[in-house]
Amino acid sequence: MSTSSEDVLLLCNEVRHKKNDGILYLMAERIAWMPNGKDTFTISHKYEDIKMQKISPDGKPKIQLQVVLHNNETTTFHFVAAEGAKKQLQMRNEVKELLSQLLPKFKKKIPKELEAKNKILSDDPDLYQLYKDLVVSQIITADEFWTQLAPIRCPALVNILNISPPVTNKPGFASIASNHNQAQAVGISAAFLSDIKPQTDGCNGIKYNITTDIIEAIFRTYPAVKRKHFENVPHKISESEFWTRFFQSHYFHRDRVFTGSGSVKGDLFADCAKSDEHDVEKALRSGVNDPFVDLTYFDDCDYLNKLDELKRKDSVNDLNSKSGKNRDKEVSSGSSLLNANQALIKRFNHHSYMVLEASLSKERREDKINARQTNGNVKSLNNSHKERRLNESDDESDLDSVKVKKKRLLEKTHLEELNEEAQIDCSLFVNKGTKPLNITNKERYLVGPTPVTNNGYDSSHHNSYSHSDASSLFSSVRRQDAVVSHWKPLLSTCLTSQGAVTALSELSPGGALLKSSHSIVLKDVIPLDIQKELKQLYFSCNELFRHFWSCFPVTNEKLEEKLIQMKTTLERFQYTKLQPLHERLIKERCDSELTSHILSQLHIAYNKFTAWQAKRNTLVRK
Amino acid sequence: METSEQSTHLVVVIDVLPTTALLLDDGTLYEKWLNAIIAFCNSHLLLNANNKLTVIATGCEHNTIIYPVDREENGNETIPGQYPLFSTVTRVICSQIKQLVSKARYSLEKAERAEDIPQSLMAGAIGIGLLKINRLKSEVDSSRVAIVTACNDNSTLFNSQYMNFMNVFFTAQKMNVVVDACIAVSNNNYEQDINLSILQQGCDLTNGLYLKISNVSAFLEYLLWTLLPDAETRKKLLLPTQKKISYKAACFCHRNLIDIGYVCSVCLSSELITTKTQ
Amino acid sequence: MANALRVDLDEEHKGYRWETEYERSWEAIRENEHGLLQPSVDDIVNKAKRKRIQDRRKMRLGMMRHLYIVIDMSESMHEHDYKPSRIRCCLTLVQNFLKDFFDMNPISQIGIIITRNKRREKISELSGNPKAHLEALKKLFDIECVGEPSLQNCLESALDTLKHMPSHTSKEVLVIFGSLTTCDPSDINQTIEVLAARNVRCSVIGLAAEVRICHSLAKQTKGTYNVALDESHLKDLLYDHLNPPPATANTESSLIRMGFPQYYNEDEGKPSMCVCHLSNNVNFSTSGYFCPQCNSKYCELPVECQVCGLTLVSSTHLSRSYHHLFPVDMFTVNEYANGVICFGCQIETKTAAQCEHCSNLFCIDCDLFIHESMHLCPGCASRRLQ
Repeated sequence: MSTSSEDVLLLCNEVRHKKNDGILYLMAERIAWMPNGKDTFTISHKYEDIKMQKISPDGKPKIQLQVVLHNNETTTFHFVAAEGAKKQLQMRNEVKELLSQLLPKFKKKIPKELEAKNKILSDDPDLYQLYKDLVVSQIITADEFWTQLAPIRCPALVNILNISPPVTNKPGFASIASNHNQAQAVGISAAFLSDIKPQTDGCNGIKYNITTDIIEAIFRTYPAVKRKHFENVPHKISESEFWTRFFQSHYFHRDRVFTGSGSVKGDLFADCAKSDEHDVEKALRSGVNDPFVDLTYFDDCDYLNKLDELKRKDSVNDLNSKSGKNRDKEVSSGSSLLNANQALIKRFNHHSYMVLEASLSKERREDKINARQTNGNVKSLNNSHKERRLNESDDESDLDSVKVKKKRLLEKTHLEELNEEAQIDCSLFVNKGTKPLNITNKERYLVGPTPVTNNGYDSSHHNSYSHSDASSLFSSVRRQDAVVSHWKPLLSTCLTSQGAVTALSELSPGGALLKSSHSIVLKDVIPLDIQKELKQLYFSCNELFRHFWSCFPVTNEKLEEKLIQMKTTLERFQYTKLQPLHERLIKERCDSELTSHILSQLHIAYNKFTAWQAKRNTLVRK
Repeated sequence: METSEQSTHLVVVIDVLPTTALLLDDGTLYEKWLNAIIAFCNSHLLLNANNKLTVIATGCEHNTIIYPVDREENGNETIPGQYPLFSTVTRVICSQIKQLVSKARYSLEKAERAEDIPQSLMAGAIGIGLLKINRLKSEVDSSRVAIVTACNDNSTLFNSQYMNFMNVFFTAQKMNVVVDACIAVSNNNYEQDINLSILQQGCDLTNGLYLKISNVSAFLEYLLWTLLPDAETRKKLLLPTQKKISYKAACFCHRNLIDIGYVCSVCLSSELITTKTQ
Repeated sequence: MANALRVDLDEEHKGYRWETEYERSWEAIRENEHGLLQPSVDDIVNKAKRKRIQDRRKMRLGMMRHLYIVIDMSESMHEHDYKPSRIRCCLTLVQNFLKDFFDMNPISQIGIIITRNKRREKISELSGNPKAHLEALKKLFDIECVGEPSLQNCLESALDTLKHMPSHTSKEVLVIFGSLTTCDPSDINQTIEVLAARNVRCSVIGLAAEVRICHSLAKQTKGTYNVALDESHLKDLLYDHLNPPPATANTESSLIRMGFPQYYNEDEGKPSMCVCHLSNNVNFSTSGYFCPQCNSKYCELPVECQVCGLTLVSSTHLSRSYHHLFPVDMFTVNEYANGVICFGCQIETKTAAQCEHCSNLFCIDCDLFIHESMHLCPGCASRRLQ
């Protein structure tokens, strides 16, 4: 390869590579080195192929630059300028600078897919093995591998590679695949703010650690805070500053009362407080369905009226500003205390309300908004009709509400389990709607799923009982009685030493009863490498078989195609992998038994295929 | 080396059905067989002072616990020089069996049910044994059941008993009770091939031993060698193991062997299909 | 002692509780003649057991079950009222439950979900292979219990997979809940409605106290809700779910295709490797179960053939469930002043249960054992079949 018309960006003399002197060229698209005395490049690397460069640490006598390729090959260049180390260093640094500018331009963006595939293969050694066996030996193409085989083992692939789910008969596969990649919806605990445990940082300060979960919960519960965050961070104030302010705000110190002015130093959340109050009033106005809940009552006093009263009092006090200081203070302090308590309760109510709102699913939220709108319309309609049907509608709504109230009271005071009848039949709700079991043929079970065995002895040849001969039962009982009635157990004579010895000989290893299998333990006899190879064979062929059998029953065209494809794949497998092993075994060990199992499996598969084909052809002919 | 002895509760189920070839000739074999069983029971009690014994006899009419019994008619005869417990055991078992057999004969003669086919009630006997084991399980470390039978035909004997047997075997398996079976066969050739398959299944399920013995005069030796050790000790001994049983399944309608069948999801009856294709 | 309280209140159900004098609810528990309280408590628990057994008369049962177990791993599970801690006690019990479950219901499948930190994690997919579940459960011992549980997230996740299941199977969810609260993203009542409409039966076992939403969930989906008193009661309640539940009216019956592989012994099979252990410790031998459809080898049954999808069982697995079809009839309990001998264990007792078919008397312990474990009356089995 001679220097073509490439731009040489940098030329370095006196660069050694593998103890040979030469010249280093940095060109537009590659780096190359030519030894002295030759006119061709012995080393040439495109920048695309270079993963990174390394330099020898400062202080080392040898000044070197190493280029590492994507396939982990390395090439080392040694700078040996005659002028000395300084010059060498300078030259090397020049090269390094240029390379570091050039490399990013050419960096081959390894497609994300390839990275993902590599990762999956390295995570799952079995899959990697399969890949090696099947794709490398060209039994199936890489495409087939990644679209059909791998997704079944690794469902996440479906989304990573953006492929359609593999063709298979297995139900529920789609759900398995989707399960992996759905982000979970998380609920909001009502106590999430109080659960943030503070930590002291040693000098009178406290630290709060908040996680993404907590931040998420805060944003969902208080959309106002989310807005503030969006507006202010990161341009106006920093993240940590924002959160510090948050923790100082009324969200955390709920009894903080806002005076009208509000501090100028940008209490961000002051207007949040106002909008929160608006939220609560809105909720109050839209009403609550539960007839037993009245949001306006708390502290055994009527909040709205009380507040009005206080306002009136304040205004009266303003007019009478010249009255006694004490009275002023009392009223103001009283009202401020009241305000503080009420603020506390207000804020708690608001918090609970927001938590509940946040937990409504999106659809219901939309529904509710729609309902509110329509409610508003309906309300106005009602108002117009109100004068006409004043009495009736009132009565109806009253009746309804009374019914509802009664029902609720009943629920609260009567516990179902304590009910007498419920006690006896409490299992009814479990067993409701079950069908009774009618077994028609009990005898079938009594005999069980055992095959008819034929002890098959010819009754004419023996001289013992035939038990279908009923009279023999009689005679045998009589015989038994005769024997037993004269029986005197003389235990000392029941076993002779000779008898014992014969019995023992049967019971010893090798005897009649102890004919244990002298089978060769295959694991010990067959050499390990053959075992390993056989195991890999089993692995890959099991995968192929799995895909083959998953095509049955063949219900649509896609399955048909896949089936035919799999059959050819199996045949290829047999000839590429199985046959050579088989022949090798015969040659080496004269033992062809080891592959017979896989062979039998293959034949079964082929037979199935031919049977299916025959059936299909008869159907087609019809 | 100190080994803690484990106390065991042994339940011996003796099959006293008269349909056995051992009763042929002059019945000396039968007597020997019975003697061997009693000696076996005594040996079990000898091994450990805390060992317990229950003997249940299963006949064609009923099952009875013959040892221990509450009241004895002629008690207290001891053979001089013998440990009193042993003589009690011998005496009780002997007299009970005699009573049983004569009762059976009497009732058969009276009822004139000559056309009856003998049925085995062994499953019920094992059931009673399990109840007794359950009662005494706090007093011993382990329990097992030994079935001793001389019956030699199972073509009609265990009919309609499949479910009963399976129930007791599964219960025994759950309770970790080992069920062994020892069958005495005569020397006729054909009998060597007989297998009480249901007992084989039970022994396989519970990890017990299944033995067919034709040398009945040395029956006791077989019992002592194989059935006397408890489950723990057996692990250290070399005992005749049986090959793993292949439980063949048959369809409910024709009772043919099936490889692939359809099972009803509600009543679990298995139907056959004629061919192996889908 | 919630049960004891209830018993007492029944008798004095007049007016409000505060109107009658202060309830001496401890009087419901009396000492027996030896001065022990335990028999009284046992009696109450036994009565409840008998009731449960009686309720399953002659009903169609859902034998093919798809069950999701939801385990609460929130902060409340750190409590030590169950030894050594709630979560460890639960996990151990669930492990044992799993093993027995696959024994008793060989054609069923289980999946496991946990909840903590207001989220759910599915740690084990629905499958019939106990090993995978047991391994996943083992890992749970090291996971920290933190945050609040989210009942709705778990139910929705279970629903996601269960809704694909065919209608002849019994779809169930069993929640072990130790917390008193649940933090959900949206209205859980809607989820409950969907579950009820889809015939998913949700049962809850509470560890702390009765929670209204759990009660409502169980009621609407026709499941059961119980709160455990202690470890052994918890075990009882959990093991109650080993039995197949009554099938709802919507469950159709259908034929399920299954394979009954033969076991080939050492000298009968071909040398082959099993599919179940191919990744490690493979069984390279000539023995094993061979799938009748695709001939792959397996070491144990029941299993779902990974290659061809056929469920492989042996006939014993099916017979294990037969006792559900033919339960033993209840015995009538009577008092006998002179004492009678129990047919089963030969103990003398004053309270005995009588079987109506064979007229034999059994003591209460044998009665319970017969109905709970053995499913066979030895008296009836000791009589000739007429």
